[in-house]
Amino acid sequence: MSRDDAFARAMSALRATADGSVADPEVSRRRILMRAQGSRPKRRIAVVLLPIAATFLVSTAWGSGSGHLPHWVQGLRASLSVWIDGLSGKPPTMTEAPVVALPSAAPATGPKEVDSPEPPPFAAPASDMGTTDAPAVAKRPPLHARPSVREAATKRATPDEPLTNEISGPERSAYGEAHAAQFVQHDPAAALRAWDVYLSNFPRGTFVLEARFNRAISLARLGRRQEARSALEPFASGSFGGYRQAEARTLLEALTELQAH
Amino acid sequence: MAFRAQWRIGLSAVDTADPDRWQLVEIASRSAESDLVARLRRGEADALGQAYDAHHAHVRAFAQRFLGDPSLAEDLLQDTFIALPKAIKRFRGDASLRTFLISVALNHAQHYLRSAMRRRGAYHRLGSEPPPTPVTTPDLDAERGQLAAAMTRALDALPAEQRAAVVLCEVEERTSAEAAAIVGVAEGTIRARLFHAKRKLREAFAKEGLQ
Repeated sequence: MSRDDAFARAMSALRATADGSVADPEVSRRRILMRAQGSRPKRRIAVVLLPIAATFLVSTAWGSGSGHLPHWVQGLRASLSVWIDGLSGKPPTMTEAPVVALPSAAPATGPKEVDSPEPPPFAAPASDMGTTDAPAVAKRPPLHARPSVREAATKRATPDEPLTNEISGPERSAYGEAHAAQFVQHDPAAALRAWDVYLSNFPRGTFVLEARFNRAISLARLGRRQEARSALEPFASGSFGGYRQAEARTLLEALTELQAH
Repeated sequence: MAFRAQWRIGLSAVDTADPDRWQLVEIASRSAESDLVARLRRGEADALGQAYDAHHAHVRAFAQRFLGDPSLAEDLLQDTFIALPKAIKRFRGDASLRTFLISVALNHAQHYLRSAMRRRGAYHRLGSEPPPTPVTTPDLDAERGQLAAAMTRALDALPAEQRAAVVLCEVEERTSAEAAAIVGVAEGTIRARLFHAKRKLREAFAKEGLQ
């Protein structure tokens, strides 16, 4: 056996003997989650930045309502809204965390699907999870009783809708429906309808960017490539900052290649 | 070309018959990771558990290989995931979450590495063998265990940064670019560290008569 042989075999032996397998990974998991419960996020910076962010949101409210703001300002507004929602004390943190899952979805802590491409089952958006009205997600009406796209479009948000995007029960419910249609039911047509409903009813909702991106994916899945392209281009061009930019570009390239054939 | 495009966006077996209904598996997969990162940033409760489920085996394997001590590797694993909600704020998305987790583990590993080396040194002074790495597969033979122990002893003689380069590139078979991203240095630096480390390791092996 040459020296290099022994060297290579030793590397291989170390790789094989320390392969990350352990008798009960659940024990480690429980310990980590318990220890994580003991650490609360520090919000000192937030105390300084919160008034600045609030002032920015209020001062740009008129422009946002009339659609005169540049894309990057709108993106910044959306990000700040999410951030402020996260500081409101309502969102679930590592320290307080009842998980409310959709009835049709797999439990959030259930068996892992390693190769599952979809995001985790929706478990109520940040702001209201853990509050008393959280089960509103679970109590949403069945599909046949839900409003159609047209009905929903007629119920557009009024100009005096709150601008700080406090997540309401209906908004959470609309988002949950769309998320379930796309990632649980894997029905792109239903998902597209549901994302349209969400975007019509909550044009300045907390999850507008996520809804628009997921809507684009639904369009691509339905083969409506030109519409998908149009929907993805603002993301790819950075109109929303870096949000989903790389993914949108990759998807656009893939759609271009498909169209070429 | 069409095949390449199919591959790039992912093609589910169910949908191969209908080219207009290709599942965007790759995109959706990245999308899922982005969602997980966003949820970690928001401090959502179940996100940490989900990150653990997806990546604990890789982080644990790296910790075991880097430290050569299963019990300390367990501690490092826990520290890594507990640090994740705070560390995720530094995550820029230019690498995978798994790669980022390995870099977090590496940042937390120095203290544990000193403990592991002290422990092995103490066993050596007492003239007894260090506790063997647990045998994880039934067909793992004794020779393999000895070789792994010899490699761990040889790694103890290296500076920590060279040790990291060896574990990442040689043991875990990562590219030098990926190792550079984890360690946070230039790719050339990783290659240089690896070159010097391998030379020292070969010398150590020669001294032990493993040739």
